[in-house]
Amino acid sequence: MSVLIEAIGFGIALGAVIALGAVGFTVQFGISNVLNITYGALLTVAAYLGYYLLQLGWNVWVALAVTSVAMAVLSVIFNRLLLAPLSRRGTSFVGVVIVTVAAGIILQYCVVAVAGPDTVSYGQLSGSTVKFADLVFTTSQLIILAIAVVLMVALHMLLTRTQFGRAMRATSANPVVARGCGIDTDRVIDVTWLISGALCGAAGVALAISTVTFDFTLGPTFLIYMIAAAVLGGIGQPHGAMLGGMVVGVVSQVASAYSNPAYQDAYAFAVLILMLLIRPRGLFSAGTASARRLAG
Amino acid sequence: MVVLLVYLGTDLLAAWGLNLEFGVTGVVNFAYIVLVAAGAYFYSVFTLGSPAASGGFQEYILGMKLPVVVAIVASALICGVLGCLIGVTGLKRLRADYQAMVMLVISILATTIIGADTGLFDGNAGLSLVPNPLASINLATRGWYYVAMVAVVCVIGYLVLRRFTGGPIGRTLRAVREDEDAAVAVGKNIIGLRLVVQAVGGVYAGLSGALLVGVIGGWSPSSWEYVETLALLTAIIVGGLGNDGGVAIGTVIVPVLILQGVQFLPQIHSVPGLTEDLGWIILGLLTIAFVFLRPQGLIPEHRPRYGPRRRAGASAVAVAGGPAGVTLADAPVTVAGGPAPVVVSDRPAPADPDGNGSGPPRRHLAELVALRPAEAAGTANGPAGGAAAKPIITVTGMVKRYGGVHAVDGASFSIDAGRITGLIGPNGAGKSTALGLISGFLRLDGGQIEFNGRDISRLPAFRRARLGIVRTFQLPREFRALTTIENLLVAAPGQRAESLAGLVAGASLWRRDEAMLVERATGLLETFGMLHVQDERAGHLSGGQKRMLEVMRALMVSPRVLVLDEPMAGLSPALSERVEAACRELADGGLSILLVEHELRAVERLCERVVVMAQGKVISEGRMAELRTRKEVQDAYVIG
Amino acid sequence: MSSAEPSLATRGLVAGYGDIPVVRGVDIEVRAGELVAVVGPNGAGKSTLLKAILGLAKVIEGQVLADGADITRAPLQKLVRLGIGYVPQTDDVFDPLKVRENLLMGGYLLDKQTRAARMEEVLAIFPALRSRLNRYVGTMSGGERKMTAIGRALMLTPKVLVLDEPTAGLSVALTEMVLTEQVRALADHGHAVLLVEQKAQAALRLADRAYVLVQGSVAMAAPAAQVLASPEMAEVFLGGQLKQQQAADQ
Repeated sequence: MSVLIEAIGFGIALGAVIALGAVGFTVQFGISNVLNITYGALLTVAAYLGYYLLQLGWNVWVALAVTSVAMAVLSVIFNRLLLAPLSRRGTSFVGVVIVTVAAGIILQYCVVAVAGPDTVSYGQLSGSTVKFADLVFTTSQLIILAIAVVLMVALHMLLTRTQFGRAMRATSANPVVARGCGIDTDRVIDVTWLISGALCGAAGVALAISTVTFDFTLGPTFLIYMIAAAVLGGIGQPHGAMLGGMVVGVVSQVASAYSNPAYQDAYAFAVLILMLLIRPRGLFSAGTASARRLAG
Repeated sequence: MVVLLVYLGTDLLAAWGLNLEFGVTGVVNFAYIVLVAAGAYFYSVFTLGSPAASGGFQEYILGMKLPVVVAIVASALICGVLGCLIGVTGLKRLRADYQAMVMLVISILATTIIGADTGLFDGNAGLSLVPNPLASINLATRGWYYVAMVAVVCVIGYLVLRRFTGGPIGRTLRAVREDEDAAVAVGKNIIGLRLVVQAVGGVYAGLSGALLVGVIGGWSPSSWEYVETLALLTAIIVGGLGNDGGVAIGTVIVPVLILQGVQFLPQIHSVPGLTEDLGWIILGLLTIAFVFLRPQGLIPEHRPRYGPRRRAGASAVAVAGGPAGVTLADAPVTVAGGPAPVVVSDRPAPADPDGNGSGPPRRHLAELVALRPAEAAGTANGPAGGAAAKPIITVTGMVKRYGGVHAVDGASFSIDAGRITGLIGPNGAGKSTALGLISGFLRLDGGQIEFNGRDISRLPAFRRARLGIVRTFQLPREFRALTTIENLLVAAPGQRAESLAGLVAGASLWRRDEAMLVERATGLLETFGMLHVQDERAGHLSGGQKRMLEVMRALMVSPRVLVLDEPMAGLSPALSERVEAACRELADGGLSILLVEHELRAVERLCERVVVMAQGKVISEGRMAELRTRKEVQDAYVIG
Repeated sequence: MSSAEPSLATRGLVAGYGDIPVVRGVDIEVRAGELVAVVGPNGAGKSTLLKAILGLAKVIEGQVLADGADITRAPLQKLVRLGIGYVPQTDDVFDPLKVRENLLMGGYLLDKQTRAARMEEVLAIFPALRSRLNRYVGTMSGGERKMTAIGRALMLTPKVLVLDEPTAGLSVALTEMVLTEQVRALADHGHAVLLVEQKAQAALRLADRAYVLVQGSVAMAAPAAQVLASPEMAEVFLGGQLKQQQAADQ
């Protein structure tokens, strides 16, 4: 039983990180209707950026904040430079995926060229442990959990309580009518990319903290966890991605606790494949919007 | 050098296989490298012998000591089967980028599982000490013999490949790539074709892997990361999607020159491994550059021409294609897009570029359409109002639901044999849905459809097309990358060239059939005044021409029942007349036609009997003149 | 009628997609407080006419004027600020948002107080929305969605409201309701309303004036009642030749 509890604990901690990244991914999809595979490489870049800031002696949480900002800016540039032009030209969906995979490879190998292919580590940051009932968490995990919760709540408030947040949801749902309301959709799109980029940055650093040692495959691997979470919750819907992240985190940890840990990633991969083949619109989605988008 | 040449050869095989799947047929198999790996792994376990015999430090399944040729062939065949299995995942109609991602994840999943399960193929350590197939030859010269062996396999591989990518089959596969629904409408078995292509692609992958591992001697998960598929894709994109020669050039440039070649650059000692990383970075940049700037590749796909040689300055068929690459850019070629492609032919264009009335006497249309003999339904040539027409298709109580809405709500009517039946009704009446149900593109939620007394309610759309129930689409769905005449040739039913015998025997079997088809097709083109654009890419035709092509293509299928979806919409009066005249002539020749139209004057001129639908039901039937006076019809149209 | 400029007008408008003209030289006018209907058979170019006015289709020749000012080819965002509201035929609301949020989006350009006040006014026009404020629009019926769409467009108090087949896909009863309680009410409140409708009879019963569009040209322009009563009407729709047009062709 304690194996299960322990696994759930790990799952919650991991789930928080996955949720962060998944929400960033799903928000991007919502606004651009593009499957952005480069997101994985951006996670890697964030992780390594945090690493270098740590080498410079910075506090890890400050590094996380700074990296988030950096990735926010990088994401906007990425959209304007690469993705938006592709969409304007009417490139097919396959063409876009090929380009985002290629961009991911470029970024990834730049990272390898600079930092080398060996694993790096943020070092022992875990801090002391804390017990909640039978669940044991390290302070790092708790801080990450807290950050994730705060960011998710902030995003929720933004999207549902502010005019601008509603404008973001409106532009995502129907850009023509949004313009018909006088909304400056270009600005809304830029800000959306800023936000999703920031989440990507935070998730990347948080991942590095959670996995302790990592290499350049960090991004692509966990990208799949995040896409699985996003699809589970209904692609394009932030609340779904939050929930999906927790589910994916817990399920993968519990599954690997009871079997060969080398297969841990395999469960997440299988979940995504099965979801897309069997129920692409997600488990708890509002249905039609997601389904329509995935059928092209 | 030897190794480089072997890499070139094996990469060629793999690239050709992937090109067949993706470039020609449009199958998004981004897990292709898994098939190559399978070839390498199976060859290894077929030749390593038992684990104990091969050093005792590796664990793997199926250790056997088969003769080399058997091992290679067996691996290739297994990979063909695996290719089909992977292909099954592609049958779900997901958006293309999600399909691509599923494949990539399958690729990553495969490396993860094979890496973790040491019992399968020795996990991450991989297999080593794989015997070289030419082990019996002296070590000094072995290398060059290997190169020769690979070269021979490549030559044979190329010749076999051409059987698939050239000729009528190549045309059909490209039609599947361009527009699956339109391909179904002309009777192509999409699922069967895709699986065959994936099996063949798998075989090529397996060969590639087996030959590669033979010279390297070892194989582990690090050799087949998911990015390797991208390297092959880049080779194909750079070289020319859908063009075997182009792909060969792309293979020389990308995997060989770039990935391997960078190793020969002077090492930058302060940063170990930089050159390999540089190779991938250059590859990525190249991919993006080509997708943006030249998606059709260095040597674009070109289509054969059937017309006479043009004078200088004419539009070449091997058009660089402007901005619209073959699979990567979906935007139809518009004036707003990049450099406008040359559309006008050099022959002095007639005043109405869409038509010319004069010319050599036309062949009888019914001949050209190769109408099948009218069925026992009988009164094929009955004069209007003569003997009661017998139905060739009867629909009873058709129901189609979308969520809570009944698009079609218990519609029943029949289509008369050898006559033109009209189907009219205001927008939202359910006419298009009814058409989709009859042609098999939509599934019935209730009711029945009978064709000549046979229940076809559950028959898949492509089989209905083969039976002779052929539909057109409201918005023209031309096979953009094929030429005008090819759009017609591909539609002809029952081509021997597309059968197994045709594949094996080659052109000698179908050359004459093809010639007859070309005659039929040119006859049709002449009748409809489009012979002068026969070698133009269909994507470059004007809107009116595309609509005519839609009709002609349906006629090439030798239909028994032609279901026309608003064929006059957007046609100039001259062209509308042409279509009308053709319909009349064909009906006289025994063709049954269902005409869904808004142009009610044409409906009145052409149709013996008209069915009126509104709100998903049939509300009235009869001659148009009568219908106009009936209150329920007036209400439906004018109130809505 | 006042002699002021019409709120919305087109002069010799030629428009279409690509270079193919669908609208071939159309003159129409809409004034404040008027409900003007554009009817005609399928493919006549009615939707294209609207889209050309709103900058969503290509204008080949001619002018679009608002209160006498030339707004030809202006983008939709600019038109919104000039007081032109648009309700498209489909995809007219934000499905994943609540009714209240849809209305708030409609008032995006207003400051908070004006927006709140305006929302009250819109709810006064459409009281049925008040009880549905917190429902997600995607879950509502066709008539309710259309009401939300029109309400959203009204938030900016547009001088001119352009509606593209607002009753498309609606049942006969709902059609009556939408046209009477929603569209007619707008004109009665002083807006200039331009309505494209397939359901000609229903629209003509409520409109002030009408244009009958056939194959891209205005075949008839008259008070709605006159158009409704004319015997040529049925012919136009059920495929007969309009006598005037025949004469013109001679």
